[in-house]
Amino acid sequence: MSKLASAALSLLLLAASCGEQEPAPAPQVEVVWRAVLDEQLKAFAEDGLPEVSADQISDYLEAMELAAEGGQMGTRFHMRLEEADPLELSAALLAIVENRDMEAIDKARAYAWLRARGSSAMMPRLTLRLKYEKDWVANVDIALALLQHGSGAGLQAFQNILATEDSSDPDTLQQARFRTMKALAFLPPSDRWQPGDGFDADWRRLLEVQAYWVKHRRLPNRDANKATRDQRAETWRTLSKLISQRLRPVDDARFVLVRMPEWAFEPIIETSLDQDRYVREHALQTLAWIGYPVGRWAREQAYDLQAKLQSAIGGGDSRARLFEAMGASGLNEMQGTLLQWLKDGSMEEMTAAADALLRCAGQEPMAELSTMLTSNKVLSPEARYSLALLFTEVDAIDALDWPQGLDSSEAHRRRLWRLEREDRP
Amino acid sequence: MKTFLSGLLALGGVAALVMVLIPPKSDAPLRLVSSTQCFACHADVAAEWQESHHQFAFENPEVRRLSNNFANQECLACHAPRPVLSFKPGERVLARQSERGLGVDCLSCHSHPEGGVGTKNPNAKSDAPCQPRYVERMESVDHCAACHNQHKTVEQWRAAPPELKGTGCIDCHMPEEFRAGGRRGRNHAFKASHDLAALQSAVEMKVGKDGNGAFVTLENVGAGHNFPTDERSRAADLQVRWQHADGSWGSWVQIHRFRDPYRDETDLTNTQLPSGATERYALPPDGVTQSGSAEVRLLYRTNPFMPDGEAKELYRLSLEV
Repeated sequence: MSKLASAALSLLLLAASCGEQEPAPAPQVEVVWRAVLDEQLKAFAEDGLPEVSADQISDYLEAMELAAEGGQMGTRFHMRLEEADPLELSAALLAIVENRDMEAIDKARAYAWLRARGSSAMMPRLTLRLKYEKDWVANVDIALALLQHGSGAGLQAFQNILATEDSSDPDTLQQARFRTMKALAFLPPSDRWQPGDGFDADWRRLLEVQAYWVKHRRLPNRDANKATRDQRAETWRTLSKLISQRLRPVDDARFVLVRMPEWAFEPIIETSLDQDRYVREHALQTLAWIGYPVGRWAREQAYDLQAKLQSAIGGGDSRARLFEAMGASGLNEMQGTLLQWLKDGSMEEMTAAADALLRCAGQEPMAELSTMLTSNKVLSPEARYSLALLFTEVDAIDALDWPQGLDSSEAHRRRLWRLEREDRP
Repeated sequence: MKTFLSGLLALGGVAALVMVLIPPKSDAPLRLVSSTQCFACHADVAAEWQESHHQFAFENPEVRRLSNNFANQECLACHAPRPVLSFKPGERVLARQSERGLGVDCLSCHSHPEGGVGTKNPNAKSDAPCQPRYVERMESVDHCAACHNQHKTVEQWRAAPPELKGTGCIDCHMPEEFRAGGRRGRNHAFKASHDLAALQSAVEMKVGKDGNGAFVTLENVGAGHNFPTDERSRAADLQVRWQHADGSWGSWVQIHRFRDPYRDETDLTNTQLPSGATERYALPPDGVTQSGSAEVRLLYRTNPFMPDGEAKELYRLSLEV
């Protein structure tokens, strides 16, 4: 079927929209954007990881090499590294591992020292190494360092290494597996598991901890951890990358932000009110990618996420993204606002509102939605599909009745949201 | 619920078909919500777009593979963009929520933030249902830069020699079109790296011999940007093969690859051929024959691992050495 014909078929109810009926004007709300990033970067300018010079980096390279040689001199350089300022050490060693031209052996030593002596402020930049570092053994060091500082972002690397059986480099894989098994001893203990219970028990505990991390962005049996000032400074620096016109820095920042512990949620939410359109769009989308953990955290912390996000609703440029973030929280207190915009918004806003309702609505609005659907409402294929999926909670829909014209990947995404509804906060 | 949904969906399907295939009865302003609304009055443009890679942007299997089926949502920004005119000139676009299947569609480039559509035609019929209004930047490279400068194609154009730059992207990629009814416009097939003729018009290959031996030259004679450009996956390979004494041909031997490497290919450098530049390469031996007949070819690949048989052959030239 040609795209013209399939598009025609897909655009259910559009004709009706082009007739007499004009939608009511969307609600107008004023919004005042703030220079959130500028303010925070200024406030934290003296915190976080310091700038390091090329000479300092060379000194650290030399110290690590000599420390590895052992003997009296090795011991002396080992002590020097042990006693180095953790912030300076982290900054210098991160510069080494982030340098594509650096020797593999130097990087391996730097990762090992970051694991042993790195500051918790390294968390965002070290998390980014999970994206770029291909060396398995280095990934064990990264994951373990993150774990020790309260992040489960590297647990997937542990799981991947242990689940991999074949490799073109079996020696390295074997070494990584051995080190991962040792690293599992650092998983948070529970009543039913202690380090040394054996591999099967360790593996089960790894999966438990990882599932908990994915759900809460917090490690089990740990108090809701608060960020240090240095960690917050580095988090704001990561958020500042969202302003980039080049995609790569944005992509990198979001890779990190969706893997940060729950204490990073508030800065991301604050950033969604930034004066720069790209910054707030990307912050909102990051919240949407994190999804239900944000809503769960807001509920636990009695944080009024709805009021916070609602305050940005006057920003027409990013309103669709705002709805996406609202829905992704899974909080059904968002549904009133979303329903209103499903009635009165533009095509984009209505689509985003319908998608958001699929992720957060309870069963209360079903009757209202059915009335809306029978009133020649303009709805995109995506919106209709989301609403149809929502209806499956109260009634079955025959296969033939499903809205047509939607790309399979777009349908798949929405079916996943439907499945996730079971786990709403 | 089931019954009402069935009826509802059936009604909607018929209504949409009627709307798309039959032009509006009057010149009453349209509330533009979908590019499918444009098809009725602009069927010829729609047909051109239907053949373009803009239309294919969201469904392209190669894009799906590279983006992990859009699990990498960053890619959506340019493969299902919001209207470019709602962003500042030259700034990157962001992804839309609706009708992503239409890829880079009419509204992506024409929808005006204040309603109606933007056009580069200063004499547009402003009382047409789509309420066209002249927007100067529609013919500027900034309009295309919203997506096509991620890999610096527009910056390459800015640095290109004046004689190859033209006035912008549309000179080559949207040539003038004279349509039925005397309508004059621009072609919306956006011919570029997927079109053999467009590729051939970008470069000129020559072979020859002199005191230093046999050689091949490639000159960027027609592209107002590097060759190849845009995505880092694009690659062009110069290859030679020699004829053996028994008349059989040897294997193709690589001479040079033109390409901007991926970021993690740290051992490679950018070898794209800038606009107006010429490169000359000696023909390397194949280990068996270094004299007699040789053939040189230029292959264009949309990804660097594409087998020779799937690549587009832009040129093949023979010479006696």
